[in-house]
Amino acid sequence: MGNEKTRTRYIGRSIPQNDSPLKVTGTATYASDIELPGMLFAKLVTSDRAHAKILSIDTKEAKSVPGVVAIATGSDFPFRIGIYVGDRDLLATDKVRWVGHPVAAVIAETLQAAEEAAEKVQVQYEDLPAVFNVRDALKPGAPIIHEHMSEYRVFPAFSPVPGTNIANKFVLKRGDAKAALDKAHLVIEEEFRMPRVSHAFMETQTVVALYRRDGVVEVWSSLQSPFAARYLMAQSLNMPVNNVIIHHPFCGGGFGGKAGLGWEPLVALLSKMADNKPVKLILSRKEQFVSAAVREAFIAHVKAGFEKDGKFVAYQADFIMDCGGYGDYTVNVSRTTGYAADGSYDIENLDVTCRAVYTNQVPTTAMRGFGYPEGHWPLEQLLDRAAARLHLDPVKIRLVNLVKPGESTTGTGEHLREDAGDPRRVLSTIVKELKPNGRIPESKEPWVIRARGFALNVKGPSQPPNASGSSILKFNEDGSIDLLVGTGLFGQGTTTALCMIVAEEFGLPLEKVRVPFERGTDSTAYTWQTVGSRGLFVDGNATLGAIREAKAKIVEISSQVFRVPKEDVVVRDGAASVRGRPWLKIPLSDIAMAYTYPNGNAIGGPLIGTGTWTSVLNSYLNPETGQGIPSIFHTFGGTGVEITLNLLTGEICVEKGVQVEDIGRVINRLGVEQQMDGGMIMGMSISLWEKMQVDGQGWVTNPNFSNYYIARMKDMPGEIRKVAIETPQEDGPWGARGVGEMTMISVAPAIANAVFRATGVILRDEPMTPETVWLAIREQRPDLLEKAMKALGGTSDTTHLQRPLVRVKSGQNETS
Amino acid sequence: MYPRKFDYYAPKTLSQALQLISEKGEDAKILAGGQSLIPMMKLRLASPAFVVDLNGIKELSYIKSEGGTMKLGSMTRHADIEHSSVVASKAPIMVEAASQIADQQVRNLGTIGGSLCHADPSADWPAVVLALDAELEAKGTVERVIRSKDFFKGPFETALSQAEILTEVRFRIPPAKSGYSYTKFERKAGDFATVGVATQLEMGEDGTVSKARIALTAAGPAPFRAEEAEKLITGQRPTAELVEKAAKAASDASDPAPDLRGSAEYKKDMARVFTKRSIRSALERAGVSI
Amino acid sequence: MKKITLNVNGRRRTANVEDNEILLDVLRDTLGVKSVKAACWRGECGLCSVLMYGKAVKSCLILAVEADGAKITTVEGLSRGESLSPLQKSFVEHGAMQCGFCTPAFVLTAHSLLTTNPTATDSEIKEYMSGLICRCGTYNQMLPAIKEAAKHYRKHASDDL
Repeated sequence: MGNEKTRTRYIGRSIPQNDSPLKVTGTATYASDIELPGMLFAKLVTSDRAHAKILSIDTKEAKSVPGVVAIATGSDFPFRIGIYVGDRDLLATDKVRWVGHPVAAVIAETLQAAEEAAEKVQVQYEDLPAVFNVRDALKPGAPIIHEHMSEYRVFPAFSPVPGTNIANKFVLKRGDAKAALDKAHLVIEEEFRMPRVSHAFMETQTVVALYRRDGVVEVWSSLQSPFAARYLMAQSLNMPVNNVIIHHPFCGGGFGGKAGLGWEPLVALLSKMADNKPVKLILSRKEQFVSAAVREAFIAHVKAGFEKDGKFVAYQADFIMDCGGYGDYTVNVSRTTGYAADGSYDIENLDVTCRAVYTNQVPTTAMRGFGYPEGHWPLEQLLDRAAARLHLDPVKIRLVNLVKPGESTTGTGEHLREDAGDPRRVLSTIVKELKPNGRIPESKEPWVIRARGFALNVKGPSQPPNASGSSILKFNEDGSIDLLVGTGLFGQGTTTALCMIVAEEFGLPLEKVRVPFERGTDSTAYTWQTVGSRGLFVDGNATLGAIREAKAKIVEISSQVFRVPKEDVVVRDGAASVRGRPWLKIPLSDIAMAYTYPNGNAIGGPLIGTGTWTSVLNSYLNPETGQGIPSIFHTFGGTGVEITLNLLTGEICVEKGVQVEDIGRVINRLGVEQQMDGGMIMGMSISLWEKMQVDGQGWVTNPNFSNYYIARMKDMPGEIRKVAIETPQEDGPWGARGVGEMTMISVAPAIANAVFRATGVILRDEPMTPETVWLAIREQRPDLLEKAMKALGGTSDTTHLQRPLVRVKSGQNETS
Repeated sequence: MYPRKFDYYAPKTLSQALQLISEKGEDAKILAGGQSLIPMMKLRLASPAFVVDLNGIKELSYIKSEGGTMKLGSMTRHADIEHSSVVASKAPIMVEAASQIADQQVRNLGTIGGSLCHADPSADWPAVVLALDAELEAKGTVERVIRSKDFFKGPFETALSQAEILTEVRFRIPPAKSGYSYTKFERKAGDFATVGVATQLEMGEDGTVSKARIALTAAGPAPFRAEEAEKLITGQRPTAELVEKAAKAASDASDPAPDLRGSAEYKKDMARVFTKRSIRSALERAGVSI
Repeated sequence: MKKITLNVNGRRRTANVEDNEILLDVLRDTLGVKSVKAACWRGECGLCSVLMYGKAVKSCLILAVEADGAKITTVEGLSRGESLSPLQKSFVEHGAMQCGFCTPAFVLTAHSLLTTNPTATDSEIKEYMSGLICRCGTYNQMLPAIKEAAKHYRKHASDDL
C-alpha cells in the first residue's frame, strides 16, 4: 500500500470535485442559505473610535424599533476567546481597540429591523491615545492596548509580554550571525513591508446558531475547522465539548480567515438571549473588512551576509507584525515567520526575531501560507540582489545555497529527510519553463520593458505538535463506502482526493465512495483544523489507517470463507479473492454487512475501518533559540513570471506564470492545477493591487471591492505553466505532500525580482501598484524614464487602444 | 443592506414625472439606471423620502440620427450605446467610452442621462459629451438646452435644478475627416478612471487640425475642456512635439484631488501621458501619422 | 406593502414587498431562490447577477418594485433534474470552480454572453466576465470551460437559422 508506482485507476488522474454538480446548479447549501423556523437576525454595532473607553451604551431608541427582540452588549459576555492568546472579547467590554470593534449586537425579527435599530444604538466614548503603527506601539510610554494581558489564557508555544504591546516574541538562533556579518564579503541591509490584506472570501462570515433548551448548542457556520471551533467554543462557554455541535455546510472560501473560532459563540449566546430562537448573523462586506480579522501587516528589517561565491553565510532579521486590536492567530504567524525565515536555504548563522505587536487597527489572523509569504518577500529578493552585486546568476546563487535533503539541517535544527523533496529539480524545472536567462523578445514600445524573474519557496503546515486527525470508513449494503473525515471543504477538493484514495485501494468505482458534503462535529471523524495544507497529509494518512483496518477485517472473513491462510487473500477490484485461484472471489457487497453462507449462517458484521494520525516527531520549539521540529513535511516549490513594465505609468502586467511544486505524488491532477492557477492569480492580485488603506484616525478607507482590488478574469496571465514534481515522501499518503497554500508564496518576490533584474529598481513594498512603481522608477532610475520619453517623441503610444469590444446583439431602441 | 424607507413612484410619462418631482421637491430623487443611486441609498449617502423611477417612460429611451444630428434619449442604457451600429458609425467615441464603463452588468442598466446628472467627477460620459460639444436638453416648467460646457459645475453638481429632468443628449455628427479617442486609465478593469481623456479632432483639407476638442475626467473637481491644449494644435499640422506640448498643457490645466486612485502628482503626470495617447490615437484614426 | 409579480425561471411568483426592498433579498429570502448569492451588497462583485429580460444585471442594485412584471432567469432555470446544461457540464469537467460560491453567477453570466455571442473570443469572454469576482482564482479553468460550451451555443444558433 502507499508508494509503489504501479498503474493506478484514479491516483494521478484529473477528477472534478464530486460536489461540482451542486455548485453549477446553485443547489449547494452554504451557511448563508440556511433558514430555520422562527429564525431571528443579528446586526452588529461597531466602534467609530480607534481607542476609547466606553462610557455608556444607550439602547432605548433602538429597542423601540418594531421587531427588535434584544440588544446585547459586552457586559453580557464577560469572557475572552482566541486560539493561541485569549485576548478577544466578543463585544467590547471596557473599551474599544480599533475602528470597527463590535460594541453591541441587535437581534430582531427581520434583518431590516436589526439594521435600523443598530443605527440607533448610541455609544458614548472617551477617547484614549491611539497607536497605529508597530514602531510607535513598541516605544516606551506607548498607550497599552491590552492592560490585562497577564490574565489571558496563553497556549504553551507563545510568550506575550505583559505591560507592553507585544503579543508574542519568537527568536530563532543558530551560529553567530553578528560575527559572520562582520566577516562577510557582502552585506545587504534593507527594509521590506507588506500592508494589511483582506482574505476577501466571497461568502462573508455567516453563523446560524440555535441554543437549544436542553443546553446543547447547534451552529451552522461558514468556517474552515469545525472541530477547533467546537473545542474553543465549548471552552469559552464553559460547556462539555459534546454539547456543542458545529454543522459544516458548503463554505464560500476561507484562505485562513475562517480558521480557529469566529463569531459562533457570540451568535450562540444571542440565541440564548432571544428565548432560544435560532439567530443568524451575516457580516456585511464592510464588517468583513474592518470588524473581523484580516492578514497582518509587517515591517522587516534585514541584514544578509554573503561570501564572494554567493554563499549565504548570515541572516539577521527583525520582523514586526501588526496584530491590530487582538492577536489571536497572528502570534502564530510571528512564530512561523521566524522559524521559516531561512526559506529553502542552508544559512549557517541565523538571528531572527519576530514580534507580534498590538495596535489600534483592524485585528489580524492567519492567511494562506502564513509566515511564508512574509519570510519569502525579503529573502528571495535578497538573493537576487546579492547575485547582481556578486555578478552571479540568480540560478547559480540559489544552487550554492539550497538545502540538500538527506544532508542539511533546517534553521530549526531539523535534519531534512532524504525524501523531503527535490529543491534542485524545482529550480531546474523553473529554468526550463521560464528560461530566465533566455532571450526576451524586445518590446515594440521602448517605454515598455519585458522581464523575467522567479523565486523559490518552501512550506510546511504550521500547527501545534500534537495536532491529529482521524478517519472512519463505513461500508454500506452494496459495498459502497461512506468516508467520514473532519477536514473542512471550502474549495480545496481534499475530500475528492480522499475518495480517490479509497476507491483506488479497494478497486471500487469512484462514485461508490463518498464523503458527505455537509457534516456535523457529532457525526464525522475528528481532525484538528483545516489549515496549513495539512488536510490531505493528515486525514489522508488517517484514511489509509482506516483502509488498512477494514482490509484486515475483509481478509479475516474471507480467509475463513475460503479456508485459506490470510496471506493468500487479496482485496482488489471491489472483491476479496484468493491469490492464484481467481475463481475464489467474493464481492465486497457480500461481506459488507456480514458474509452469509448458503445455509443462512453468517459471519462478520457491518464493515467499518478507523484510522488516526499524529505526528510523532514534532515538538514545541526551544523558547530561547527556536530549535526543534515544527513541520510534518516541507513542500519545495517556486514561481516564475514574465512581466511587462510600463515605465510611463508604472503598470506591471504578468504575461506568463510558471508554477512548480514538489508535492510528492499527484493524487488529483485537476485539484493540483486548480491550486497552482488559483495561487498564481491570488498571489498576483495581492502583489500588485491589494492593500487596506488606513487614514490618520485608523479608519479603513477602502472596505469594499470598488477600492480594494481583486483580480478579475481579464487580469489573469495569458499563460500559466504548471509542473508537479513527484519525489514521494515515505510517510505521505501515496507519497503526497500538501500544495494548497504553497502556490501563492513566491508570486510577489518573483515579480519584484523580474523588475529588479530588468531595471535595477528595488521594490520594498507590497503591493507593487502603478504609482509605487512609477515613484520607484523616478527615484531610482530617472535615466530609464528619460530614455523612454525621448523614444516616445517619435513613436506611437496607443497600444492599449486595441482593447476588444464585446460583440453582442445590437441595442433595441435605436433608429436611424 | 436596506436603503432607508421611502415612497416609490413609477410614472409612465415624462409629464407625470415632472409633476411628481415638482410636488415632492428636495425630498425626491430621480431613479434612472440606479447603478449609483441604490448603493448611495444603502450607504446612507442619499436618503430620499420619495423615489421617482423613470424606467417606465419609454419616450426617454432612443438613439436617432437625424439630419446630421445624433440624438440619444437620457434613459438610453450604456449597453445600448455600446452595441448600437448607428452610434458606431456616426460617433464611435461613444462606443469606445461605453465599453469602458464599469462592467457588463452595470452597462445593461445604467443610463447616459443618469450618469451625466450624477456628475461623478471620475465618470466617463462627461468627458465624452464635452469632446462632442453636446447639447443637453432639460425639461422642467420650461424646456431648455444647456451646452455640455456649462453643465458640470463641480463634484456631483450640475446646472440642472431639482425640478428638471434631463431628456436628451444631442450633438452634430462629426464629419468624415475626423478622429476620436476615449482613453481611460484605470487602476484596474472596471474601475472609475484615474484619468480619462476624450479627444475629438477634425482635419482640414490642408492637413491641419481644423477643430480640436479635448476633455478630461477625473483630473479636477469637474470634467473640463483642456482649452489651451486645443488651441495649441488647432490650425496646426500635428507633430510629435506639438502633441507633447498639448499634453503638457492639459496636464497643467488639471487639478486632480489626491485619493485612493493616486496622489495629485501621479494623476497630473498620468493626465499628460494619457492626453498624449488620446491625441495620438485620434490623429491615427483621422489618418494622420506623425 | 406592494404586491409584485415576477416570472422566475418560467414560473409566476408573487411577493409582498416594501418600497425599499431590494430584488436580491426578495429573490433569496422571500422567494427562496438561493443560487443568487450576496457577497458585497453594493454592485461590486456580481455574484447576485440574474438575467432580467435576458440581460445580465446585478440584483443588489435593483429595487424589488422596479422589477415588478419582469422575466427573471437564474441558474436554476438553465437545467432540470440531474441533467446539466452544456455550460454547466463544461464547468464541471474543467474543474471551473473551487469553493463554488461564485459559480452560479459565472455560469449564468457566461450563458448570457454565449446566447448573444456564441463566437466570443478569449478576450471578449474575459472582458464580459470581469464584472464578477472569483476569489479562488479559477479563471484559468473557466475560460476553457466557457469556450468548450460555446460550441453547443454555436450549434444551437445555426439550428435556429
